[in-house]
Amino acid sequence: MNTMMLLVRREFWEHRSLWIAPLVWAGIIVLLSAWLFFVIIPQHAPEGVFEATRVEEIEGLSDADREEVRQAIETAKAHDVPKTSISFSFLGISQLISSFACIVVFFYLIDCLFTERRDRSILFWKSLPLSDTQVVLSKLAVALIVVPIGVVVLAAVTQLILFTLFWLKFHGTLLGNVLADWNFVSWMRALVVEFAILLCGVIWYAPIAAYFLLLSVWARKLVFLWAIVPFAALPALEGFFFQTNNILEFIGRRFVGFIQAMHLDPRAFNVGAHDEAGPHIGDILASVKVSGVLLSAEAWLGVAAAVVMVYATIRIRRYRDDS
Amino acid sequence: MTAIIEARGLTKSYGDTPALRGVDLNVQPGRIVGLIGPNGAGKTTVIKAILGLTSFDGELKVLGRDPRTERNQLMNEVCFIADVAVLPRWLKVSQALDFVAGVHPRFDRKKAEEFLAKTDIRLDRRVRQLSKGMVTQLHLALILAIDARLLVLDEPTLGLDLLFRRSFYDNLLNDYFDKERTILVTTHQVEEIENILTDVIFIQHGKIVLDSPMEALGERFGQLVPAAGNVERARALKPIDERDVFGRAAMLFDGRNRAELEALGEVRTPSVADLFVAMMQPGRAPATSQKEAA
Repeated sequence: MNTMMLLVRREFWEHRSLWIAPLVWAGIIVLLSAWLFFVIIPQHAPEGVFEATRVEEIEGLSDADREEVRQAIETAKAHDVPKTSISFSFLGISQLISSFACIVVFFYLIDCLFTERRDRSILFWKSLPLSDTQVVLSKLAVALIVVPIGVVVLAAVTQLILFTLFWLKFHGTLLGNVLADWNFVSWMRALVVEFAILLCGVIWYAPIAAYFLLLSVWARKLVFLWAIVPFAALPALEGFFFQTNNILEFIGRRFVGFIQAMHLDPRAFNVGAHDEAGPHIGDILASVKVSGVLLSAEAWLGVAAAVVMVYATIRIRRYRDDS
Repeated sequence: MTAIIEARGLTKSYGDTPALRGVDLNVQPGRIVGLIGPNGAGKTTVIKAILGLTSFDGELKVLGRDPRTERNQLMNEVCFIADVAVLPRWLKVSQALDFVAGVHPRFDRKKAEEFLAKTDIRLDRRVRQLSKGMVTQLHLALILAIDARLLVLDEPTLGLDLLFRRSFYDNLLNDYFDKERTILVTTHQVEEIENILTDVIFIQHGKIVLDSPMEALGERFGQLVPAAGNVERARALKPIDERDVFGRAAMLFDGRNRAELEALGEVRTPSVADLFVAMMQPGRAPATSQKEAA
């Protein structure tokens, strides 16, 4: 176990982008949000709106407008908007960071077993009592366990910072009463949902990660092209020769199919409905079904494919002699 | 005594090109063995086979284990330095110590730190910030601190200047070697290691052409500078090599009685480099292994 922990640490020593890039990305999100809260919104909103603590304090509104604003606030509170804003801002930030982390992990996976052959450092690692199984699994663990957990933690911290900034600017105001009302239970529920999404995502994406790892150990050069060209070329060839798009559908399902499998109801995200103050938090949380993925044959066929590809990766690293 | 390395009929081809053609080896504990051959002779392939880094046919036991199937266990007791380029450039010195200490049960971190303290290498440096010589020192510090039974060195001083090369082998002898340990080293710089070798093995075209303890070389080979008038008589004894040195013939003999040669002129024991040059000439028939003959 200690060896595995050290192997994982080693990956973060070598591939510093694994932790630096998401941190920088989270920093950009915080800075842009702070700019939005403190500069853009106050500049563009009608004067006095954000400072008002009661509807009566907003100047320049007709009685009808005041009544509409009052109604909107009541509706918002009735629809748990304070709680929803906590949950959704968390999920939104998580999605922003995890999407970015996916790109970072993609480059990590195609690089991790390729670079050690290119710079011949594989001979140093192979001079130590480490099995190829340990080495390959440590890299997979970084991509499918350590980084996803890091994403949730980073998203949680980012959201707490953003909430604090928002609260500092708007607390005690009408807007703050609606949007900056901290609710720990809502936050925790969003955290659980995010973990559920990540768990399903990791299971769903396991074969894709294993495929990139296999390319990394197999390709003698141009590993990036090997990683992306088949995703574009195979559907194009199928379309050209057979006028069908089965491969494209398959690829699409392998990338985003778990959202559907989790039964995430798109209507729960329907924040644009005019008469609604926003999606009810209960709807989105109740609609998430981890079992949709865990009990799906498609997910486990993918995991089985991942196991085969990881096994092939280990064998190639062990026996290929191109050092 | 159990052999550290025992090979019988190792063969290996890369496509149509044979790399090893029936290599036999027997390396005993407490020896420093030089595996010497020209480029493409098969030195690195032998070493890769010993380290379980390549496939091959034939029988091979290293420390009693088959490197093909028991590589993981084997690497607890075997160390190797492939060449100076293999330490990853992003690695910090402190990270190298942390890592090896964490994964190698026989690594003595204190010993490595003491070795590094005698150099200019700082712990916060990355490998890419070190000179080539310093990288070798770092690698050596890591390897010397491992209590391994077999150390394999493949061109370990390639590209280093004379000072680093000399200090590398001094450190190896003073800080590492003892009667329990065995070193197998390949190098082109034959002259620099011949004084530390206990055994020498020449390999050419994938075959062992000489395998002899150093002390037996003097008994088997003699270099004769015949006196004027004895040159033709000396040639009649069929030297394996003849060169002109300052206008005088210098002939190398294999298996001739020393007294017989001394009757013809001045005789001395040839250096390993002399033997190498003589035996690696194109068309030269493989010599008999001293160990095999015994």
